[in-house]
Amino acid sequence: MTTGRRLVLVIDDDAEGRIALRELLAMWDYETDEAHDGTRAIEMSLEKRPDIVVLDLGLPDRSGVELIGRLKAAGGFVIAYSGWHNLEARARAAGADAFVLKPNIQDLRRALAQADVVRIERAPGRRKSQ
Amino acid sequence: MTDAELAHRRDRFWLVAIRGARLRELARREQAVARWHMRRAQRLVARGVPAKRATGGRSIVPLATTLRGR
Repeated sequence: MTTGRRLVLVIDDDAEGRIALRELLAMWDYETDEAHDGTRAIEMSLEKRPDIVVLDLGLPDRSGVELIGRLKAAGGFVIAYSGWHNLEARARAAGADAFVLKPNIQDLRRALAQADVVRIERAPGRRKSQ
Repeated sequence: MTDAELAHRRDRFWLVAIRGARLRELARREQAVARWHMRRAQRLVARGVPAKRATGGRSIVPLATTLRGR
């Protein structure tokens, strides 16, 4: 049964941060799933086709920036986050739809809202307003 | 402060920020429930129901405290 709630895939190697983020997203009415490294993230994005991917750019097995392209190919809205402000340009160049600089949680909220707008605009049958 | 130190500091505060946002969300929900009970009680009192009965026998003070934001 589909609930209509959007699925968010949280990718972070830090278990504590990942769980806390999942709990917060659940409170904001998102369905969540998680991956702790890049390899698992690719598998899950292909298998589950999440609407939104929230990706920590500092992963142990591969560069988060390199991962963005693979995740975009699965069709979701990719929100990259990092404590390194100089990664924003690289993340966006790699195809990230939004970038959140830690610890700005309000930016994450805005990025999620942006993902919802994009989803509505891309919805089939929607006429372009003039 | 170097970029690495700054990034490390931001990393440390990330978890705090997430937990803070979660607590704010919980407080917002608690206030929404309190507001609902308060409005219901006010509506019933306006219709002549005794205050104690309108609040289901509860004191109005905890609701008011929650709404005031403690």
